[in-house]
This record gives sequence, C-alpha cells and structure tokens, in this order.
Amino acid sequence: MNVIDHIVFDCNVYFQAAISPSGPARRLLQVVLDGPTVLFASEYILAELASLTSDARIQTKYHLTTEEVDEFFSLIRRHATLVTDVPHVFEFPRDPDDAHYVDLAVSVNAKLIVSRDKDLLSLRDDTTPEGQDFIRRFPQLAILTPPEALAILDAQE
Amino acid sequence: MSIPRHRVKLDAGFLRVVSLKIGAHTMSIHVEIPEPLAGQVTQAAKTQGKTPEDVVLETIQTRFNAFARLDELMAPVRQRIAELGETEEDVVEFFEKVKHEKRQERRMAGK
Repeated sequence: MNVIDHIVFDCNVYFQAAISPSGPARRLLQVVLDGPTVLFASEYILAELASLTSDARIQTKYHLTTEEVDEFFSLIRRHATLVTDVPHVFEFPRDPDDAHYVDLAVSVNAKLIVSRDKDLLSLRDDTTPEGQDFIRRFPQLAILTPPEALAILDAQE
Repeated sequence: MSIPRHRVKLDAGFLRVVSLKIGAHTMSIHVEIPEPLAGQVTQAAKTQGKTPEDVVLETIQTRFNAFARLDELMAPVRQRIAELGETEEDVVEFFEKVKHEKRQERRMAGK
C-alpha cells in the first residue's frame, strides 16, 4: 500500500475511540493525530455521529450525557479537517448511506477508509459484483478495520 | 479539569514572563509569553473564571494529551459498560445496530 497521507474514519471508529482509551480505534486516532496523516471528516459524518450519540437508546444504555458528547465533538472538530462539499460519485445499493464515506475519500484523495461497518467492509470482497466494481473503480482506496489500519500506520512510522 | 495548585507557579510579571514549575520531579521551564498572547491568556482566564496558570497548563495538556478531558468525562460511561458486562466490541455492535435502524427509519420516512 502507498503512504497513507489522507484518511477517513467511519463514525463507528470515532465512537469506539471515545469509549475505549486502550482499544485499537483510540490508538489509531492517536497515531493519526501525532503523525503526518491528515484526518478528513464531513458535516454528514458528524451529523450521523451526533444523531447516534444523542439517541435515547445509546444514551440510556451507556449513561452518555450531553457534556461528554460535546467534548467528544469538540475534540473531533479540533483535529479533523472538515469537508463541506462532497461530490456524489459512488452508488452503494446495499447501504446507500455508506456511499458517502467513499465519496468523501475520493474527494480528498484519501487512500484509506477505516470502518467497523460490515456493509462497507464487504466492498473488499472481490468475489461479489459490488466488490469487483469498487476495486476496479478505486484501486488506490483501501477499507480496513481499526486494527488493520493501525498495523499499516505503525509500519509507516 | 482540576489542576493541583502546587504544580504551577507564575512569576509576578506574568503578562510578559511565565515560569512553570511542573513538579520538582518532572519539569521546570521558563517561558516568555509575548503580546498579544499574554493578553489573550489573561482574557481567557478572566472569561473562564480560571487563573492564567490554569489556562496555560490546560492549553499544554490539550496539545499533548488530546483525550485527557474526554477520558475524564467518559469514566462513568466506561464504568457503565463494565457493569453491563460488555466489551468494547459489544458496544460498537450496539452502536452499529442503532445506526442501521436509524438509517432504515430515515429511508422509510423518505428523508
């Protein structure tokens, strides 16, 4: 894989990094913040993250409060480069909302999307028509889980 | 975030010169803060109801430990996760489940 200079995180990676200081998502985020790799996010991603962290099912179950969520978003906004205009270039019928992550990665020339989403990760499967189409159209763009991405960035350091 | 009072000392002329004594066993440095930064530190301290020492130290902490404040706030959440007997993986799975339910609800509503 080429040097990872631009990177995109799924909202689930941000959430995982927030809840677990010793987990792979946090370590990955720390490596990105400490190194030359630029983390890109969009208002769409932050809006979905906000919608989830303010959802009663999550707040009630984990006793998540507004103060914690505010600090979390403040941290992301301090460290990520926000993109407001993301052209739509990718269709993903299996989960249309996941297409935005590919759109964002393509618009900022990112070589890596980090995600825990099974649908998004399924695009790595070159035995499916959707996977084949993705790999053919975006051969430079990888989709990895946090531990996989951490191994790549650690090796890059 | 509470900062132990004994950990930071400020010179009398703090608008021009700040001396941070961050514990005898850790680090003691002398930092000149030029204008307009010195004025901004003073203003931030006044606005936030903190001392200039607190503002300077919190700024350093933010730079070198971006997650300190978040981790402090998230301690009850981590405790709750432990009480539920869930792992980090379980929590992310639940997050993903809610995410897909909300996406489905939004699509059904035609948004």
